[in-house]
Amino acid sequence: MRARDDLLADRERRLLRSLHAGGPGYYALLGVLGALVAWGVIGYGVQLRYGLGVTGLRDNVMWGVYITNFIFFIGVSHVGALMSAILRITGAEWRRPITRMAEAITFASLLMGALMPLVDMGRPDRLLNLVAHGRLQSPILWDILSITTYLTGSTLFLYVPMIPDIALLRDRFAAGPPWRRRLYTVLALGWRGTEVQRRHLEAVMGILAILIIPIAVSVHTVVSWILAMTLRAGWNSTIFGPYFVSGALFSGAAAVVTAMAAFRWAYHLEDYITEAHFRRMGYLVIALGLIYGYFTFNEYWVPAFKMAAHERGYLTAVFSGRFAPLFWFTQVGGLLLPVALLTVPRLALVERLGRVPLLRPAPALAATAAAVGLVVVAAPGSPVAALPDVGALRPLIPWLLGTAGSWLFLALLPVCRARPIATATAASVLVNVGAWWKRYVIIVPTLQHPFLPIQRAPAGWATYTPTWVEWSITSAALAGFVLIYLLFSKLFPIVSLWETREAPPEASGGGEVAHALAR
Amino acid sequence: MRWPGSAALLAALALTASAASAAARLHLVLAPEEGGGLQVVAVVTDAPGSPREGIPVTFRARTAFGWLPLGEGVTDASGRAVLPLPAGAPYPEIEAQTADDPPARAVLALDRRAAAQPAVRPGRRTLHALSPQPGLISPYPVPPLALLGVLVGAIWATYGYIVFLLTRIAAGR
Repeated sequence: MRARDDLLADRERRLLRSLHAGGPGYYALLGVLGALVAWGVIGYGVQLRYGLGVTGLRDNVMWGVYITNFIFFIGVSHVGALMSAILRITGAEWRRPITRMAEAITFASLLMGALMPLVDMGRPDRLLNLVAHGRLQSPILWDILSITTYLTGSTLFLYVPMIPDIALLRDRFAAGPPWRRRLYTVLALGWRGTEVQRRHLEAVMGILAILIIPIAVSVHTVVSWILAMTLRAGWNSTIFGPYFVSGALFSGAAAVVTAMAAFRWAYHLEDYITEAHFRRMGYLVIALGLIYGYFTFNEYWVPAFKMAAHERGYLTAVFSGRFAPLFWFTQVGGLLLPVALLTVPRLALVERLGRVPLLRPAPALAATAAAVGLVVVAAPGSPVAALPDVGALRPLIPWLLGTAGSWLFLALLPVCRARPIATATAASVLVNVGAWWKRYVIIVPTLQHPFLPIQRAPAGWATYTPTWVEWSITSAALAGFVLIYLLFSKLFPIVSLWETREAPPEASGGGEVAHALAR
Repeated sequence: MRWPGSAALLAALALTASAASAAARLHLVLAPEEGGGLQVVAVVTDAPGSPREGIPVTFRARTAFGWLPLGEGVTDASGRAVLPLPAGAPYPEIEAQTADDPPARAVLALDRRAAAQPAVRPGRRTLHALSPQPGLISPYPVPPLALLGVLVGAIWATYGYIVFLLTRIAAGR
């Protein structure tokens, strides 16, 4: 028992060390993120000075990457509250080392998400008009209400379980910088761990865990209603609410996996976050991915089967037209491939694949490189693209890419099996990249294909291409999200100390984790 | 907002403008459209006053942020190019310009009263008769909104209770 206490103290010391100033890598990352945010602020300054004309947004396509960011961030924010609340209520002990990471994701992404509609407003000085003259019948106002409610709830949900840890920091940093001491003293609420305080804390956590679930579900449902309550091809759907909620949970769970990998590597949290946590989170991502895939299939299959005249332009643009590469990337790269990466390497058959000479990584990589080279050569505009033989090859490109990609996937399976954490991380990054583009594909093609033809507008207004201002602000938002998360981890322990201390040692990451997770 | 339909009012509102260049004369008229709306008619003539056919004309509207292109047309045999005005378009001025060299330009000042918003909101009964949309699609609060108010109010009341419990933690009792 004593040895175990020593082990706990060691890992706690290691965790608390992460609160002190970091090394050169930390400052380099801080600098890059700060520069990206600063560049975004300059971009926003340009937009504020010259108006939304500096963006690709026009009368017809009035939503673009800003609203894509908004839906993406609100979606990612789901997992912290929902996953943490559900796992708390169901008593899943393995969640203890990762719930705070998830809750902090909610906080950081909500802050960034809530900013995006303001950025999308050409006249932010008229913001108060939304409240003063807003109509309760408008989904836009429902959105303001629900996001404000969710931000308040999730901030409380993040803060309340931190109180005992903040009290520990208050005592530990008694000789530290005064601002830190003051911050911890105020936030610790005079916590001394008395029976009465613990009882109140448990009551608050119980209430919040139950309350936050319907709030989180309602927020993304309301976000989906901003689109679904309008009569437009692609948005006029009855399943947009659950479709958005499942997509949000899928991308959010993947974001937690990415955060787990990053903090495990940067702060050396191997004692807290084990391979078993990645496996368990992987199961969650797979399950959510399958649910999301089911809704996605319904969402596209039903209108595609009918191909109604007024939706044909939109559906054709998505399936085989201008947006087809993005759409198929989101389906294959952002959904099928990550789920396959998380499931197939676990099959016993994979061990035998490594012994097949053709399925070694080298030939598969060479074939994929050749296929990609062919795509580059045959691309319209390349010097040899005009040759007749090259033109004849063009229809074969999707098949060549598919075959080479499948070959590479099979060849890399043994590598994935040997490196489950890296594989889970790669899958989670793919999910999030795919999730961002999926929101783009949901928004922009619909706006470019209204039921009433776009008329009396300059030709350029009918299509949307984001400008440097929009990309700068988008990069700044993503960097701002990481920056808030990073600074949070420097102020508060990213793993809950008191919860992992109280948990059975197996469930808190140390010792016989596999046994605990098998229960 | 609806455009006035009566001929008398239209006559009162209609203003004309013209401009001349060495090559062409451009004349703008506000005229009624068959469906009850309005249209801007650009009439292009040469110096003696004969209509010119096939002259491209660009129409723009003055807005708070500059001249907004509204559309383009080509004059017919009578020298007319027509721009139907969107219903309720709140433009104080419409400009037309020919693609001639040198171009002719004319500006038509619309009566500001035509673009003004109604001073009094129509009542619930009037609006219901105009737009019998059921449910929440209404400019007035409808009963189902009470449910929304109760739900959101209950959540915020619970937040209040949580803050109360936090003060109890701070007080240590």
